[in-house]
Amino acid sequence: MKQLTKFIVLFLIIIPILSGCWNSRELDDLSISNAIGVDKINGEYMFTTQIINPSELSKNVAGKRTVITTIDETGETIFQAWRKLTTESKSKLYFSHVRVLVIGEETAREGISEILDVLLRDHDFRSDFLLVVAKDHTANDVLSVLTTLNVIPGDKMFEALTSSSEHYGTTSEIPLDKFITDLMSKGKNPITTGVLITGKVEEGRYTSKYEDIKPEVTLKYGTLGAFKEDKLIGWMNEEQSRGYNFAVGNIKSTLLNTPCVNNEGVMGIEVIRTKAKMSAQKKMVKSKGKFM
Amino acid sequence: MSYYRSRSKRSKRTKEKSHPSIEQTTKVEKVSMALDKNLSAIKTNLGDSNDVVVRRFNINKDTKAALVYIDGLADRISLQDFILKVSMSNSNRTDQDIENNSVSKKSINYLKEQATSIGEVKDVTNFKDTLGAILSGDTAVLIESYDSAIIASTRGWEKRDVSEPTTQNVIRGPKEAFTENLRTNTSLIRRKIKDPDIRIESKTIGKHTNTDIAIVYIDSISNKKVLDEVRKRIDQIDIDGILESAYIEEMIEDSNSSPFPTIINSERPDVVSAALLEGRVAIIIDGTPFVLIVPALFIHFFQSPEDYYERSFYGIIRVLRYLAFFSALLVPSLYIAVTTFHQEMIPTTLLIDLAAQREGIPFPAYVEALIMEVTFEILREAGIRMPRAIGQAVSIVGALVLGQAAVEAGLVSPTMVIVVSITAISSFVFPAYDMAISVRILRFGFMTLAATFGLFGISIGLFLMLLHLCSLRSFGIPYMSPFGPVNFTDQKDAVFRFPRKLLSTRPRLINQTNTKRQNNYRKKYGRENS
Repeated sequence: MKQLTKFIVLFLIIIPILSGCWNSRELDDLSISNAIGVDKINGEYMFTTQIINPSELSKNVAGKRTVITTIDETGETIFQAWRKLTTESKSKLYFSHVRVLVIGEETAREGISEILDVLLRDHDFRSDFLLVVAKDHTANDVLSVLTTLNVIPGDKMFEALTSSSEHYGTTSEIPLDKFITDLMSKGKNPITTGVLITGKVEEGRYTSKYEDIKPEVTLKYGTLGAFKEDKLIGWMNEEQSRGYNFAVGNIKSTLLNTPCVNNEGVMGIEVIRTKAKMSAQKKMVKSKGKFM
Repeated sequence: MSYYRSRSKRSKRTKEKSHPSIEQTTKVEKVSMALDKNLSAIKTNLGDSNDVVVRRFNINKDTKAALVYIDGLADRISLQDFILKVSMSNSNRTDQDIENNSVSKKSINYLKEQATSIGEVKDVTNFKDTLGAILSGDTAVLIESYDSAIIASTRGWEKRDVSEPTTQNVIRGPKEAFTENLRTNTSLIRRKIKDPDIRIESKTIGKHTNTDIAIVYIDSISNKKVLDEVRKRIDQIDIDGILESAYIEEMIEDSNSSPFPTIINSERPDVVSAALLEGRVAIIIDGTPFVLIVPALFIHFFQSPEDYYERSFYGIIRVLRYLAFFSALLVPSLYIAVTTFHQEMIPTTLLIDLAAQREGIPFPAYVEALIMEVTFEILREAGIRMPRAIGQAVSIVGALVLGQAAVEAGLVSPTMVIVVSITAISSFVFPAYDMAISVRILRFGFMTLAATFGLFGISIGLFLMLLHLCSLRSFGIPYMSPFGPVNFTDQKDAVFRFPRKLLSTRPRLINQTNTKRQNNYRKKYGRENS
């Protein structure tokens, strides 16, 4: 019993000392980052992130400010760039709720393994956010565009990609860890989906532009981009994207058009179930004494 | 534990100096032959209290006698009847008696026989017992030159009628509850179990209160080890007074330092009867409608009588109570842990909402939760203790000031109000109030753990709690059985109440000798009809 008392007293002493100095953070102190983007400009990394303004999102406050704030910083390393962001945000960025990682096309063409390496290793990040490439734009551009239907762009991009890959099949939701697994496996090269900006980027920044029933600027998913190792080498067209997804078994549901009998009109077929099997065969072909 | 040691020392000291009780004041040990001597002894012992009635009369012509009783405790009707009978014995005197001019044995026997309308009549030679009997409402008849007092059982004081239970309600089931009267309570049990095997052992505890208690059990079913343990622990009690069953409970329970109760109480005769049929032992204490039942295991605190009175499908509802146990215990701490340590566990949209609510709230989540929980506990205490007339005022203050105004003033977030409400509602789900009290206390511990170590702290806390629960015993029976030592057959009445055809045996750990409850009636019934 004496020992137990000692233990309890010690415990009670320890509790007030420990409290607050560990990694406890109150909710209102969080700068929740919902989407991140990385560009490589002139050898320096530019880290862009969208931070949610919770009070603008809550129902009882009718604010005029945007629900998200995009901030960016450049640095020689990505790590430096995102730490530098604390000079702009209210607190250290909170990355656990990141839904998408956008990478600029140019950067993607140069190779992204180093970028992914940092994001995978850092403990602030989860590895379940989706990876997309900004087609013809920088990641910064994509993250500077507001969205409709879901006012949080990160969420919108996540949901739109999930639903389009599930129901149309020309896109593919590739989380970071899947991309890296594809990158690391032998004989396999990763792919990812391209995100497009329709309209002028500059106009996508203002809430007022979204009062229109048909906003001029929107984010939209394109087709798959093919990588060779960690470098983007080109974009597939819609048919190729769907074909690729069929081949690897990514199609959950899609729509195929086929001409009717006697070429009278076109018939749409909804694919509801697919099954793909990939097998490798090594064939010996006799071709003048050479192995293929 | 130096505190306990010093306490036990102190109690020893007080024992030596303790107040005079009946044993110490009574210098006279035996009832004497002289009536006057007896009466003066009674007077010195009971003092000049004006409710002590001494009524002198004569049996035969010259034999002096006196009735001693306490006004208000003795039943007037049976008393008058008794006096009438006694005075009638005057006219029926024999010539021999007159000649002898003394009270013969025959006439005393006659007196006793005539007094049969009273019920119980006995001779008591011990002066202490005589006093004790008078104090419990019996009437003592003292007769000149007769060395014992005739005690007539005339107990009958103002008592409450059997009414509906006020704290342990059911929708379907008996609507009677125990009263403050021990005899009424034993009769209520006897009414339910008309078994010759039922045993009611009486004891008197409390140097000053001389409270009657009764240990009730069914001889052929009860666990003898538990019974011996109960007797042993009750015999060790040394206290000046027993005013409620909690006095006994605290003195015989296995662990005083455990937050968990190891004795269950009930004000329902049906619950006590069910416990007796399981082989458990009931302790009835005079002066309180709450009867103690031992052994009480963890699962017993989640069993409502209604589980057995509704069709067996209702037995599924019991899971809710276990769920409520955990929600009453853990919801505030989980909220604290998740919002201050593990924000990644919250879905993004919810996180944004929560963060928006917390904006502008000056306190950390832990302090916020603490404020709300403590305020609620204060409200609850106020609700129990306030005079009924101002009940509405308190509920208005509680609902408006605490709920709405606190949120609007930005002191607490709306979610915290929900969290506290869930906790509060959950803690009212338990059929046994004792368990709710322990959960209330433990909740604050878990909140502190959550605020310092997050979910890690909560799991450590749960682990320690589980260890503690598994180490507890209630009168020798492991507290967590049938989970602690796993017993598969007893699972039938643990988390769920299984259909009655499966409840064919008594709980194994409580009862090992007489286990069969019923034959499989259902099987037979089905065959005959098909």
